[in-house]
Amino acid sequence: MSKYWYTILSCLLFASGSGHADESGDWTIETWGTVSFGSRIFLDDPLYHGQHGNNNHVAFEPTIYMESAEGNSFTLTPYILLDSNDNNRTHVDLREAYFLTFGAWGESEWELRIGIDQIFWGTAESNNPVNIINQTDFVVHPNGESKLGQPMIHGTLAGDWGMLDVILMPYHRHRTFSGTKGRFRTPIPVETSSDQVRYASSSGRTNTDLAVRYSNNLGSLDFGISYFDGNSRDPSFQPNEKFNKLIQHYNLIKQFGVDIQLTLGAFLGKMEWTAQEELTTDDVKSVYHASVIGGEFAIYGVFESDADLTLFTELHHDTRGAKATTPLQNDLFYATRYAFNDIMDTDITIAFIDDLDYDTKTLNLEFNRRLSDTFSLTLEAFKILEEDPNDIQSRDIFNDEYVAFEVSYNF
Amino acid sequence: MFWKREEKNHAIDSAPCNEWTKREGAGIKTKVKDTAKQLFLTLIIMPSMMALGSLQGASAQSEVEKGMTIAQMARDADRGFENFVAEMTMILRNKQGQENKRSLRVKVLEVKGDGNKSLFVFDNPKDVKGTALLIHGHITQLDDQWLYLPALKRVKRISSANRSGSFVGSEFAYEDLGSLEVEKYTYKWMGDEKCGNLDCTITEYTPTERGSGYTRLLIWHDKDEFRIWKIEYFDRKNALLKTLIHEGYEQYLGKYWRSKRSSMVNHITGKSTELLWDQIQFQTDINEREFTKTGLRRVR
Repeated sequence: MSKYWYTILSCLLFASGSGHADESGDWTIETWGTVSFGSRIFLDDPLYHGQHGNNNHVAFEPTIYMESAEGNSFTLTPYILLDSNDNNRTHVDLREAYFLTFGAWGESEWELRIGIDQIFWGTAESNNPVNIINQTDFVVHPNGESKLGQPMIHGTLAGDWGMLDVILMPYHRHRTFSGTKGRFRTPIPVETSSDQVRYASSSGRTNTDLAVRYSNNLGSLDFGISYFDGNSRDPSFQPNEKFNKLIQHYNLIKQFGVDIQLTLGAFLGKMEWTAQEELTTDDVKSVYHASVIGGEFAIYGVFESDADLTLFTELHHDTRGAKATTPLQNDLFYATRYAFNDIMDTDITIAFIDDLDYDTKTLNLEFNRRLSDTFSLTLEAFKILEEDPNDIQSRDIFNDEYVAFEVSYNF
Repeated sequence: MFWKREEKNHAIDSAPCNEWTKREGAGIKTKVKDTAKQLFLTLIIMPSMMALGSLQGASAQSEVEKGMTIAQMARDADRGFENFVAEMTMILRNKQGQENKRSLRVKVLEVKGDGNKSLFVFDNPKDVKGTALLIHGHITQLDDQWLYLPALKRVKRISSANRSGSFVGSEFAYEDLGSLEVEKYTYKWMGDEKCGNLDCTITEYTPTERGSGYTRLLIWHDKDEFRIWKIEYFDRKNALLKTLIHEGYEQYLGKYWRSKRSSMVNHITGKSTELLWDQIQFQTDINEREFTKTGLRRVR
C-alpha cells in the first residue's frame, strides 16, 4: 500500500487549496472533485494465478472549471485510479477536457463543445442500449456505468421545437479490461494494448464517427431519436494465434435508436429500442435489435415515514441471443430502492437480474449514505443466486461474488 | 414543486417561498371560479383595502370572500417581478440541536399565464455539488421536473407527484416551497390579530388537491403589504404539525418584499429548518433558455 500514500497526499494537498472560486481577469476558476478509497472483498477463492482475494483502490477525479464573463467555459476533469493488484485497472483518463461556447440564433439557441466529453443518452435504470457515445471503462466497475472520455466536436441547436445534437468523433476508444491479476476477467485475458485492437473500418480507430440526436418533451412525454454511424463501442473477441489473449474486434455499425420516458404521477414508463446494421471485421453484414422496456413506481411516505419506496422492473432483449455482446440478451431486472429522505440522504437498493434464457440469477445490494459535508460512503454486495454453466455470457463472473465499500472525500 | 412558482405573482407573499400565484390561469374548480369572479368584481368596484378590517361579525359567506380577497391581494403584490436570483442556505437542526447545512443557488423566471420556472443548483453538501433541479410549474396540473446528475452527466425527468415529501431532508415539504396558487385552496377569514407592531389578519387555506399533506393552513398576513409572517400547518388528522415564521423582510425595486430569514419548526419531531437568503436580485439579465433541458446540462 505504501506506493499509494504519495498519491493520497498529493490529492489532499490539491484538494485543500480548492473547492472555491477565484477571479483572475475576466475568468472565474473553480475546482471540485472526489478522492475515494475502496476495497472489494471477493467471496470465492481466485481461479487464476496472480489474482487476490481482495482489491483495494484509490481514485482521484478533480474538475477544474473556468468560465468567462460571457459564459464561455473550459472544463478539465482528469481521472486517476490506482489498484493494489491489477495493472490494467490502474489507469489514467481524461473524462472531460472541452471548451464550451453558446449563443442565441433567432428564437433558438446554439452550443458548441470541442474536446473530450461525456454524453449520456437513455432512460432505463439497469442498462441503456441507446447510450453509444462513450466507451465503457469496465475496470472501474463491472456495472459499466463509468465511461471513458470521448474526443468530439459537439454542436447543439435548441428551441421550442426541441433539441438537435450533432456529434463528430475522430478517434475511437477501446474498452478497458481486467489484466491477468484482476477479477472480472475471461479465462483467456483480453489483449488491451491499442496496436492489437482490430477494426472493420479501413481507417481503424481514426474512422470519423457521426451521431445525431433529436429530443424533445411534450407534456408528460420525453423522447429522443438518435442515429449513429461508426465504430461500434461493443467489441467481439477472437483468440490470438498463441491462444493466450483475446483480441478485441470492433465492427462498423449504423445504429438507429429511440428512447422514451412517460412521467405519469408516481409512475415512470421507460423504453429504449435500437436497430443495428453491422459490418464485421470478416466483412459479414448482419442486422439486430436491442431493447429495454419497463418502468418504476414510487410509494411516497411509505409506512407513515418520510421514506420513499421505489419499485423498478425492466425487460431486456437482444435479437442476437447467445451471440449478443451483452449478458442482458433476454433478462428481467427488478429492483427496490428504499430512500430514507433523511439528512444524510441514506438509501438502499436491492436489484435482481433473472436470465430468462438460462437459469442464472444475480443479486446486487447497494447502500449509500453521506457521512459529513465532505465524506460519503457506499457499501455494495454482488451475489450469484443461481449459476447456469451454459450461460456463456455470464459464467466468467460466477467466481467474482464480492462485498465492497468505498469512502469518498468530496471537495 | 419546490419553490417553483413562487414568486410569481403574488403579492404578499412574503418569503420567497410562499408566494402565490396567479389567477388567470385557468382551471379552477367551478365553485372557486364563481367566487373568484365575484371577488374580482368586488375588487374593481371597491377600493382595495376595503375588505379588511370592517367585516367582523359578517356572515359565513363573507368570511369566505374576505379570505379569498386576502389571498388575491397577496398574490397581486408580487406580480411583474420577471425574474430573480438568490443564494439560499438551509440549516437543518435535529432535536438535539445538531446542525446540517445545504447551500443552493436559485433562479426563478416569472411565466405569465402558468406556473413559474425555477432552477436550483446545489453547492453543498459536496457530494451533491452541481446537482441541479429544473421545475416548470403549472397551475392546474402536476409540474414538470428534471434533475441533472453531474457524475453521470444525465438529465433525468423525475416525478413531481410527491408534494408532501421532505425537500432534501428538511422540514420543508415540496408543497411548502411552491407558490400558494390561488386556485389550489379554498379560503376562510378567521380574524385579526396584532403581529409585532403590525396589524395582521388570519386566513385559513384549505388545499383542494388530494396530494397535499395538510388539511389546512393558517396564514398571518399584515394588512399593509400582505406579507406572510406566520403559517401554521395542520396534518391530515388536523393536528398542528409545523409552524413557519418569516423575518427580516426587505423590499426590492420598491415593490417586491422578501423575507431573508425563515424558520420551520416541526412540533411532532422537534426538528427545525432555517432558511437564509442572500444576494437577492430582481429583474436580472438571465435568459429564459437557462430554464430548459439544454440550459440544465450546462449548469455547473
